[in-house]
Amino acid sequence: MTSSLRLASISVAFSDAKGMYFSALTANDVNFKSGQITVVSGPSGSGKSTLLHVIAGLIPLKSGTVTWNTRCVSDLSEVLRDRWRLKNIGYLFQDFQLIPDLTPTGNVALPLSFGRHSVPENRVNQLLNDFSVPASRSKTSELSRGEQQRVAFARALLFDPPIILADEPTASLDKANAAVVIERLQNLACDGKIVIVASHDTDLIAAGHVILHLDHGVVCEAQHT
Amino acid sequence: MNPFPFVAAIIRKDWWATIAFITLVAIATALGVAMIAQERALRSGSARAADRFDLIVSAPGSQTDVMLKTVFLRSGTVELLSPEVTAKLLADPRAEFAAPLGFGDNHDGNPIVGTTSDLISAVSGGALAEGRMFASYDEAVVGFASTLAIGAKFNAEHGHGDDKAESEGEHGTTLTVVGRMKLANSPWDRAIILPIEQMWLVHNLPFGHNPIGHKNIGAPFDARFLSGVPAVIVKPKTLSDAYRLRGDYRSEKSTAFFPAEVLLELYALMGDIRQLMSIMALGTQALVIAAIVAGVVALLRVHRKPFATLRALGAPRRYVLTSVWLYVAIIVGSGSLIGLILGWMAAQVVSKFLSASTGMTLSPTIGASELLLVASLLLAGCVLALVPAVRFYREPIIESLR
Repeated sequence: MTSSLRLASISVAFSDAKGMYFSALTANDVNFKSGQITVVSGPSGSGKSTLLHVIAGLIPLKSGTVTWNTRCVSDLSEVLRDRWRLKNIGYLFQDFQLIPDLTPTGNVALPLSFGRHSVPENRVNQLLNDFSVPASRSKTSELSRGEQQRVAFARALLFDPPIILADEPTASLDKANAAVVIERLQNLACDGKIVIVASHDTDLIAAGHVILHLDHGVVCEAQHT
Repeated sequence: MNPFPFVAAIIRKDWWATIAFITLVAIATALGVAMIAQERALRSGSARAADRFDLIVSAPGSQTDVMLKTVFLRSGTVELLSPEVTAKLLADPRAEFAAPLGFGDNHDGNPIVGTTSDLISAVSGGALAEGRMFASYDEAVVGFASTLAIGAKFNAEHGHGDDKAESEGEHGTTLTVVGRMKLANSPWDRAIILPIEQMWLVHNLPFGHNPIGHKNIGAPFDARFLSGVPAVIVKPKTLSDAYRLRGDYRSEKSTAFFPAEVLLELYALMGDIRQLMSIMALGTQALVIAAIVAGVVALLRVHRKPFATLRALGAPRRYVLTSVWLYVAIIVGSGSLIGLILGWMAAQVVSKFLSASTGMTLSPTIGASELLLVASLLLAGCVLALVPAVRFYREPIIESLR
């Protein structure tokens, strides 16, 4: 079954230090489809991360809706939105955002401690094996950048979410590790997931099926490759 | 929801700050616990020490001074009870015994007391632990903790405590230890007890019996040859006799009191001080916790990004709230528990020093007051822990992700 994620008439405003509001993001009608990698590109400060936060339901909308299949996610209460995010979104961060004093296993299993969601008993070990993570290390901070990135991937996929959000996933990696990340994102898209990546990495842009360009917080166009 | 893994990671990351916070709470708690436990130990120790003295009759003056001198064998000067009153008291038929007391000498810093065998038996609980009662003026019975062994010979020295420096020198008579009292849990455990006649004799005073004739020991005393004494310990025959004696000897020439009366006054004073100090201790502890909460807020602000990450990964706000609250609660909880143990240990150490200097047996224990103090602290800590928790709960920390 194909899934779809739709943003309609989105407007997000932030206030500055003086309390003056300014528009941070405007998107009229954007559709994300399963099996596709959508790359959100644009210069720094153009609103790429904000767009990912909107999709994840992390920031309130001034107007507009975010619809997951037939469900309007933006209208959900915060508690329900948190649950929806936990189950449906896998988040990858530029600098991984792992908890350095937890073990790799502890990091991957951390979302299990958020609520009552469960996974098959062997899920964590299976993910660590799939991503060749050395689970025996006592601290994640002892891992190499490439290994940390794999732990972050495993954590994002714990609940096998249909949507993957990746915020500059290759920005802090060398060429070889960046290529691995791009390949993994492509594999996830092949598995039928909606993959949305905020990046200005040309290699990642080249791997995208759809390119969304952001300019000063405005989603300008969707370019299909 | 199980925030323990995340909280454990925070503790591991900031272990030095966590240990510092726990140490502060532990010290603050220990001070309060030690103070309350010590005060109670002093109270029960002093009550135990006074337990074997029924009625004290002395010259008019400070009952506290007399009490300190007779029961606790502290040095100090008190007025002497006149020989007339002493004679009347020693012959009073309502008394099972009346034992005059004489002080002023020491051996190796331990007080020497002159009295009669009746009081020794009473303080020793009816019988001696070893040896026998003195049978002549140059024999002595020692307290349970005295370093003098049965058969040891010694000379009494002038003075006791603060008075010692003013009047140094030994009496000529050599005395022999013939008996040891049972444990009295009082300063009397270190005392050396001589016949009261010996005390009077070495100070060139009438020694209670006709000098021409047989040298009796103890009652009956000859009223014509009695000297003044600092106090007389009376064991009344009945309870009503006790109150009548107390009433009759409260006059211009003497005062009579039950040790418990003086202790109650002292306890009331100590109670007021303890209450004040308890409030101050609790206030100090609350301030420590408030400072720690402020420290935690500052510390966790550095870690806003991990909290934001948790939210992005799907953690509900209450997960953040619970994590922060739990972190502070763990600091306060473990600090309080360690403080309770440290306080008990500190009370034991202080008691050892106090026991050595006063002769009283002090056994501090953890009681309901200390547990209440710790529980109050825990409660205050858990409530104050909500401050940083709610702060993080309400903050739009997702901005940290940008």
